[in-house]
Amino acid sequence: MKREAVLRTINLVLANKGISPASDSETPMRDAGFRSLDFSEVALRLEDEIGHELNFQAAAMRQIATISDVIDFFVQAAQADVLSNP
Amino acid sequence: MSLAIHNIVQVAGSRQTWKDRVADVTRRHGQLLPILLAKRVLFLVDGSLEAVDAFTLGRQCELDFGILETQRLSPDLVTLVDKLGMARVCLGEGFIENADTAQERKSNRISVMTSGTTGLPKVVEHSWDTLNTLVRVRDNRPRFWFVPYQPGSYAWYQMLCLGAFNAGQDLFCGSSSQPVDSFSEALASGVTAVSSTPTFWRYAFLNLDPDLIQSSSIETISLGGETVDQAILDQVAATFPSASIRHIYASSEAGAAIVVTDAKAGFPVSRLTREDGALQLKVEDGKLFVRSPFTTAAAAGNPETWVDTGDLVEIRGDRVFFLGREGSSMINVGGMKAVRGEIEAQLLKHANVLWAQAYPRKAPFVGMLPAARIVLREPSSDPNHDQAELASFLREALPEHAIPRFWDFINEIPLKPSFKS
Repeated sequence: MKREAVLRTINLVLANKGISPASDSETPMRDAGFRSLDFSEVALRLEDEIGHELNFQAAAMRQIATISDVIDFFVQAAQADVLSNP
Repeated sequence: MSLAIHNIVQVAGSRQTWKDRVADVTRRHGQLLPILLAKRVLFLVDGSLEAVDAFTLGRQCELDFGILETQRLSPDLVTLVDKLGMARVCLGEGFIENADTAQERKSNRISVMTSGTTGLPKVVEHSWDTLNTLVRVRDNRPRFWFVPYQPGSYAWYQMLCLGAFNAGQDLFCGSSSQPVDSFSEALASGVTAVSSTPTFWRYAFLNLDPDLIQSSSIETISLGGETVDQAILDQVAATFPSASIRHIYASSEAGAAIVVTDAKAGFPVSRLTREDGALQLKVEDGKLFVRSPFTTAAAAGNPETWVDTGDLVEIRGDRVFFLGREGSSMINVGGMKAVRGEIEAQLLKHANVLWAQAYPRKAPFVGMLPAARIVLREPSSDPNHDQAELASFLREALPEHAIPRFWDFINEIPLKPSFKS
């Protein structure tokens, strides 16, 4: 999964809340208006796109602070999924 | 309790008084009576006419019976019916199955099938006394009722009893599988009263010619069967400004318990402390309980028993509001509760929303996220625009966790035979 695709989904979720688009940057999640429920929604939208559930690493979640971190997290989850479901 | 023999029942083109219908039905099905009079039976019916025939036979001959539409008879339901010891009777074909193993007839027992919204229907036992709840109605002006309910459901029996036992109350029994044609025919036949669910009305407003509705002779409207929200009350009142409108809380186990006539959703909190004859209400653990002569407990000889309705309520100010069914009305969003009925009620306040259903979607990290299925009056060309508009509208009334995250815009109200969403 490409970073652009994840960012597009993040911005769809923000747009639905009436919030301006974020960029792939070190902007803190909170400053971008991106909250924990948005995180869950992005995860579900990405799962819908892929067509099955993803395995998320809880430990990696603790490191997430910025929009870039969010994108990293989902890209890595998708990569792990490809490796385990070739 | 005797039949109001001069009342008329119109069904599937047949218009007869109860007197004529009794003579006709007993003549046509007389050969089955020796078994029907001896056993507990379930009439399997195809359509409203057969259902009315079964009701007529059941009442006239004081049978121990229930009624079920043939199309609802799943293998699981056959097992249940056999376990209950009910012989299966097909009036149309004139045959009876399982009579040998059926229970002996018990007097004054009517078996009512629940709608089975959350799974296999239950069979609850009533008597003629507990089904005839409308005997309490004091306004007995003559009316010609349109009855679109699913044959054999609790609401259907209530309306049949209204027509059978209360002079001046004629019935037009519609077809639950063809509600629009059936309602159009009823309006053309001059019905003056309608008893149905909010979903039925939303469907009718979407599918029926507005001129036909407004030029009708409707003077009385009863709403019930599911939560009655303010939006549908307002819409019905605006369409029929001179009609008397009431909404009734009833369930197959608790019976008819609350009649509200002030055109507002919910019911006055004062109703919790007032005794209405032998009928009492209370709220415990957020649920409504009913004690009355019309419950299934009363039918079993225990009218003092409080019946747990399983319906969640909330007291806000001087009003009690229904939130939905226990076990299925809450969406757990990361430990925060979103109430489906509340989301739907708020959505229905939006001028462009005709029908709404909130539901949970399983989601990573938080367990569930709310989603919504919507029928709009006038969809825009861009669903994202509609979605943003509705989400923004909801944010003025609901917390963030209760705002639907996924939206499904559909063109038709999905109508079940029970006319419940």
